[in-house]
Amino acid sequence: MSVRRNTALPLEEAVSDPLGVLAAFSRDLAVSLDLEGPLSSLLAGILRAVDAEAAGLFLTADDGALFCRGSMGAIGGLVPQGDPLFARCLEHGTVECDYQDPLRCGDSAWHSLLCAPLTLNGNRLGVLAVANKRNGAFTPDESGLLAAAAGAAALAISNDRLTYALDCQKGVGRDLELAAEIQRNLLPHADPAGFPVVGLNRPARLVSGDFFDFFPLDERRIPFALADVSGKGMNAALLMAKAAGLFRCLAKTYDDPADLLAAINRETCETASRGMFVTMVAGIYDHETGALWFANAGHEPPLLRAPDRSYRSFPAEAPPLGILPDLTFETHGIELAGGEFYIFTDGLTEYRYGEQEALGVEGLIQLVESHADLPLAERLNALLAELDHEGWEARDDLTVLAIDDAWVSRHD
Amino acid sequence: MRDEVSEIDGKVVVKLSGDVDLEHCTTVRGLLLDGVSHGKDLLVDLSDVSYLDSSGIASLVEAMQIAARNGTALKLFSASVQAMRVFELARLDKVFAIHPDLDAALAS
Repeated sequence: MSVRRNTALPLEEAVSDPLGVLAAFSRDLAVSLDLEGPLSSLLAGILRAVDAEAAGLFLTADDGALFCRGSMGAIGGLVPQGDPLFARCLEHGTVECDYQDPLRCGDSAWHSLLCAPLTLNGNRLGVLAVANKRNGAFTPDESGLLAAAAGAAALAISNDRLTYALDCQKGVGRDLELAAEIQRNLLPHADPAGFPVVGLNRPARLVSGDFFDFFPLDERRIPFALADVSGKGMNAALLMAKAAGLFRCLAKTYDDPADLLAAINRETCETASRGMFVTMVAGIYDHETGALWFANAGHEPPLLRAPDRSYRSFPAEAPPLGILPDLTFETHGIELAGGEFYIFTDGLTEYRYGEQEALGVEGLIQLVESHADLPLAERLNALLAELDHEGWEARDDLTVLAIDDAWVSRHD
Repeated sequence: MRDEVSEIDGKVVVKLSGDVDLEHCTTVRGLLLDGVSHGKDLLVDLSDVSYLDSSGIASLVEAMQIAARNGTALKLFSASVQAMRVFELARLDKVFAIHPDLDAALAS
């Protein structure tokens, strides 16, 4: 085999020269967007270089079966995969050649065979085979060429598979980003300065299993809700979207929060899967009188902060939604009387600094007190900003909703 | 997390340990669903559970719902302080049968 150092070969000569075949394959790969063209050129170059009738590239599928990825010559795709040489090449990862015996079998269609394994990092991807040398037997140099070509093809195929996997990942990533955007749009965007109810949501991942909602039902009443779906990620986000839709729709029909939760629970139970459930506090606030009614389905106890800075919590009296279809709930009526009402997910109270104790309800109350003089929206932002210091870690989605009855007197 | 499965008096007993959370819920779910697939009551020992989150609870809920459809029951017993606090806070004590110990669960 002669070694050529001059790369300016005429095309036909380059692809019949062993090194030229590999160089042409590299060049083709560099400018091609897919593998089809470079693989065809490689197989054609090999056929010319070894002067054989057929060349085929066979890959192993996930189920272990071989399939033809590309072929050249009228019978290229028909190279006998059941031949002992072929099987040995695949099993042992060795170059197998019958160049000692051109008439190796009595089969009239196949009188010679040369196989090289496609191997990368110990993984056998398949076999590159040429068959039926026209004159004489395959030579050791031709075995070397096929082994080198198989190595280059294995690398190219592996890269192609990685590119495909990355493309799929990018597709999933784009879908997630779109889902996150749609989810953010499910949350209300009220003017913080013009509304006595404010909420914040910070997902632990791209999408959230928490939601909050509120909207003016009429000139006085504002239905509100905050919920936490079990689990995290896309399955939680999908159930969150359903629960949010149910609340937005049914809160216009049910005046009593207990009836509202019972209706959402029945609907959720009909389609809940894998044991998923929703904890939710839902209610209605009359900003003219300061009266507030709410019901709690298995959620963290909301907090009432009175104007004298005393606190009262309201533990749940019923389990979460989506588990038992025939649940009843209890409505609590309270007077805010210039006070504030806070609903939050356990992502907030379980926020922790390193291995230290979680923030807890006491920690949350301290944070509220340290920013109590700020307007409501700024207060919530300041509260979350306190948790943004290095070392603090969120284990869960984090959501808080606050109702400020003092807002009414400040804006009258 | 180290979980154990045994059979006592014709009932499957699964002991969950450590953090029963999102990170381990695939293992926990597999154990519980396998536990309710034998047509026998499933008793779940929660004495060594140090942390229980909503993903872990969802696995218990799913196993309980499957058991109910199969005409069997899922019962919890010896819940750790941490696990019991979660059940009480979310009023899941109204959903699950929670017994003080194995004997009580077997006798129920």
